[in-house]
Formats: sequence, structure tokens, C-alpha cells
Amino acid sequence: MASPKVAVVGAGVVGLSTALCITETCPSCSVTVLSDQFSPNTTSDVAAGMLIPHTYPDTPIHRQKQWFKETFTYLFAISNSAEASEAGIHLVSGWQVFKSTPKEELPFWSDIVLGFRPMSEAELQKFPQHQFGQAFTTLKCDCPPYLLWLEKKLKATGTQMYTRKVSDLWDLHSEYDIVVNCTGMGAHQLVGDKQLFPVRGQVLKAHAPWVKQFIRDGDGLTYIYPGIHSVTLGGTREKGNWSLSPDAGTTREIFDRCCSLEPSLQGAQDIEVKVGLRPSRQCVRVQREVLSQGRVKFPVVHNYGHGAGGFSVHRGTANEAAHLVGECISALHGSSSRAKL
Amino acid sequence: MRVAIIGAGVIGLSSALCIHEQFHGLVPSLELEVYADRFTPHTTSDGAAGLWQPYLSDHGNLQETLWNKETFDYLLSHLHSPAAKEMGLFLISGYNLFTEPVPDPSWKNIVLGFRNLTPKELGLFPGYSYGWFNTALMLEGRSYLPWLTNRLMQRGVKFFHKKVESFQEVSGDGVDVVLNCSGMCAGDLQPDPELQPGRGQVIKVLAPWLKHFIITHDLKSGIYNSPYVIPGSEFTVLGGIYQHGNWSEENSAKDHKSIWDSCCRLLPALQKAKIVGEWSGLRPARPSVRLERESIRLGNLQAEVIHNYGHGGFGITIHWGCAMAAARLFGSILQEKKQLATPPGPRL
Repeated sequence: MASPKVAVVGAGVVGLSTALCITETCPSCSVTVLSDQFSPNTTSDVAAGMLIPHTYPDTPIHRQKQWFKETFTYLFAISNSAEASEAGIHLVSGWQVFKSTPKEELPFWSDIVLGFRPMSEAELQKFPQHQFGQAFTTLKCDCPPYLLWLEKKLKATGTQMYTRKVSDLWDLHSEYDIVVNCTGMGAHQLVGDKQLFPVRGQVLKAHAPWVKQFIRDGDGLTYIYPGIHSVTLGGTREKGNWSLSPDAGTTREIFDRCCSLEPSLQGAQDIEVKVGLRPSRQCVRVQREVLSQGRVKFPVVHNYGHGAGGFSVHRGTANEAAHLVGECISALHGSSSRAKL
Repeated sequence: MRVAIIGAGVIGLSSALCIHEQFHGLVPSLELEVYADRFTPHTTSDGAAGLWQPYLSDHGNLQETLWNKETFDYLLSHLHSPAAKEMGLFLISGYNLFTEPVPDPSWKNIVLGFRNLTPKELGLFPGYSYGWFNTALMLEGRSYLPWLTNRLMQRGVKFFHKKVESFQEVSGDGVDVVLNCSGMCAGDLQPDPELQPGRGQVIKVLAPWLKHFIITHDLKSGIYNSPYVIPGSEFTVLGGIYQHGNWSEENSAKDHKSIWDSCCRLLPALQKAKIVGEWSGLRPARPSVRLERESIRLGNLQAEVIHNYGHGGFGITIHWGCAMAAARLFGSILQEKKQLATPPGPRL
């Protein structure tokens, strides 16, 4: 097979970064991205894009750590280059505060982010309701810029991108040799994965350019993440809630919670409300599968179910998915050689 | 009692506010008047980025370190107040970079979370092998000075736009105390060879992805002669010029190139930043701040002058500690005047 044709379904951060990794590891591949939505209308566009990992209960910690490390290293290099502002990648420092000291004071990622240390007494005084805290510096991927930058890099490799709703992976088997499923929440319908469930997140994006530090409550519900042009104020984690409509009461409540952590937010302007469904799963599904109908085989690589941790591990899982695509190609070569005998 | 304040930069306005807050209740006749040839946004304080950070070494000047601490603590206590945004006050973290190890600064325990940089962090800044990280405060003059002005106007303080040529000019006419907060122009009122300009130039750019201040140090060239990048609420300040004895307030093309090239080398992403302005100003530099009383005799009149000038490149950093000290000097003047008004001897 001279030029394997690979279709990547999904154009969020996972789909685009996976497509990019495939072009890097398999330059002879012809990669096409298919998605019903592109930036600024993907789930990724709602997310703040902070590199603070979410812990997946059923993925081994060493694997999650590897994914995060690869992602952090990749983005760190971009943040330090001339492309940083175009790619929307920047360093941000701040605090994660806890109302009561957590069982695990050192998360698995503490040696990957920069300058991780417990907060001092003087710093904690700013948070009278919180007993304990961690200070560190991490990276933020602002969307749309990051997704647009990925799209630009893909176009430069000759990757085509089409707006297309894929309702059945088999629909693609005549045009493509391998399909990569990066459909996020869409996998629930597309491949019938009942282990995938939405965790609804509502956020506010506000103009408050004096906010230079992030603040996150360790319970994950309240957070303030300063981006390039707006500050993301969050949020909610509503398991099983499929609604994409903003809720006014929730907006007020998020705003109040954030103002109690950072009172100057009272002066924030131009508040926009956004909703995204975190495509959640007990473990991220990065896995090969071979679909078959009769004697026709269609290799699939799944890369979905990143839930609240998409940005934190996207490049690591993209690398792994690209590697699996490589395995699919080898398998196809193997079977086509057998067919020649 | 009439008090004339000469100068409407951060020092003049904060000293005026501090004195009014402390004494207007005790001295019902207290009248404050601010005289200046320049008001916000045309003062030296308006051009400064507004980062709270003293120089690396206090040269054993413990008094100044205490005034710096007083200022930081005062500002920190206002961080959560509704006024913070209007004051232009917010937290910011960042990096101080060196090419060799240096002793910890006098302010390491004043700022929040002071620590050395890790090797990974230093990897961000090729050419620098040592450094600090800490969280400090920004107090933007463009917001703080109008805020101070509003507070003063609410209190009935009067403002006069005029260039004061001598202490006599304001002190005749029934003014009892003169506060000399004239910064770079103090030499016009009373010669002071120790006061010299420390000329600075800055380029203002739009770089909203930058969330940290970065201050590099070249121990051989001296303070502020090495690139620095300070993100504000509306734009980012690029600087790295300190020219002792240079009185020019004109922007220099040579200095522009030096700032631009060195800052872009430090942060390659700045090449994409849009330039929105440029400014030059004179830091009123002095071996130490002049904060003291002086009695000036003018014919048969005597006026008390409180000098409060010579804050170099750390005016915003030290302003409140100095304002409080000036207020204490004012208090002692009041006490002396009261004593003179009280009849001598015990009351029978």
C-alpha cells in the first residue's frame, strides 16, 4: 500500500492533534479530517485548556503520567518559540486551594508542571476559607487559537478537512483504509459506547485583563483561568446532563463562587456563557479495533473519552493513536502480502 | 492650617491623602493644596509599569526596606477591596534572571512565595543560569493616580496647575507647611547635587498572552540596563534602559532598538507583538530618599518644609511607607505648633 488513506473523524483538540501526529509518524499517509463541527464550535473551544490533569480511575497512573509529560513537553517548547502567541500557548502561574487538606498532597503530575510547592501561610491568608494549597506554573492552550494553529499545520502537510457528519464508520470503508475515531461525546452514538457519558460544564468567559493568576478550588468546581483575551470562570460538573443550553441560575452561581475567590472579578465585563459536554469515561479509550462485515475488514483506531482531561493529555494520546495507526498499516501490508501468494 | 504639596505624582498625591486621612479630624481647619506642572497621565509615575519591586540591594538602607514592606502590606490589604480594580492594583508573578548566583534580596520575605528557579524554568531563558520566582503586586499609575486624585477631591483638596519656582511662592500667603514631592524637579526648588536623572525608555506593546513579569539583571551594567518585560492590564511594557545623568525626555531610536532586540531575544514570541506606544522618563535618583524636615526662613516668616523626593526607580514600591513617614513628620510639626499656642506653666 503506497499511500494509506487515513480518515480522522473529529476536529476537536484530540482529532486535530491525532491527525497531526499521524502526518508526522507516517509521512506517506494521506490524512483527511472529517467532522460535523470545527473550531469555534467544538467542545474544545469551550474548555479553558489548562494543563492540570484529570485522573482517570481505570487508566494506570504511569500511562496517564506519560501522556501528560509528552503533552507538557510538546507545548512547553511551543510556548517558548516565536509561534507561541499564534498557537495560543502560554505559561500561567497560580494556586490550587483546598478547604481541607487533601489525602494526596503530591499529585502524580507535581514534578511535570513547574515550580510545584505548597502555598505559604502568607499566600493562604488570601483564602480565609481554605486550609491548604499548592502553587505552580503550568501551560494553557487557548481555543480557538490552538485549534486554528493545528488546522494550519495540518493544511501545510496537505491534509484535507471536510465538514461531514459521519453516522456510521462503515460509510468510510470504501474511501479510506483506516479510520481514527476522535469523536469525543459523539462516540456514544457513533460506536454505541455506553461507558461514555457527558459531564456537563458551564463556564463564563469574561474580560478581566488584570487577572494574571489562575485560582482553582481543589474540588474542581470553582476555577479562574486567565486566557489571552478572556478569563474562563467555572464551573459545573453535572454527570449525565446532556443539555447544551446555558442556565441563568448557574451563571449567577458560578460568578458568585469565583468572586468569593477573586473579588476583583466583580468588575469583569462582557461576560459570555458557554456550555460543553466533557466526553467522560473511566479510562480513555486509545485502542485498535477491526470492524468486519463478512470478509471485509476495516481497521479502526479509537481515541476518545478524555473527559475533563483532554488538553492535559491530548498530545500523549495522539502519539499513542498514531502509533496504533502505524500498527494497522503494518497489519494491512502483512495481509496484502499474504493475498499476493 | 494650610498645607501646600508640590508635585502630583505618586509621592505627592499619596502623601497628601495620608496626611488628610490622619489629621483632618484633629485639625478642622486643615486645608490641603496640590501644586504641580504635570498631572496624570503626564507624570513620571504614569510612565512606570507599576511593578512593586525594590532594587536588588538596599545598600544597608534598612529604613527604605521597611518603607517598601509597609507599602506592600498596605497594598496587599487592599487587594480584595472593591477599590482594587479602580486603583489599578492586582497580583502578578514572575521571574528575576541572573547570569550568576546572587544573594537573596532584602524583599524576599515581603513578596509572596519567593523561591529560586528550577532548572526546567531556567531552560526557558537561555543565557541565564540563576533566578528567582515570586508573586508581587502591580499598581498601575494610570489608574492609581486618578484614584488618589478622586479621593483627594472628595476630601476637598484643591489642585493648582502651575510650575512652582520656589518654596517662597507657596509658603508666603499663610501656608504653614510645604510638602516637597517634586521628584526630578526638586533641584529647581533647592539645589541638590545628589539628585540625578536615571533616564528610562519603554516600549508599550500588546502581548496579552504574557502573564508574568520577567526582569533580567546584568550586574555589570547596573539596574534596569538589562531587558525587562512587565505585562499590565491593558498593554505590556518592554524596558531596559537606565542612563544616569541623561536629562532627555525624548525617545531615542538607539534605545528603542536596544530594548526591542534584547526583549525579543528574551521572548521570541514578542516579535509578533504590536507596538502601541513609546515613552521616556526620568527616574529621580538619589543615593537615598530625602525624607526629612527643614525650616526655611523667608524674611520674618518661617515655613516648615517636609522633603519627600529621590525615589529613583522604586517610587511606587516605596510610596506608602514614605507617605506615612511624611505624615509622622507633619504630626510632629503640628505638636510643636500646638505647644507654642498653649500658654506656658501649670494650670491652677
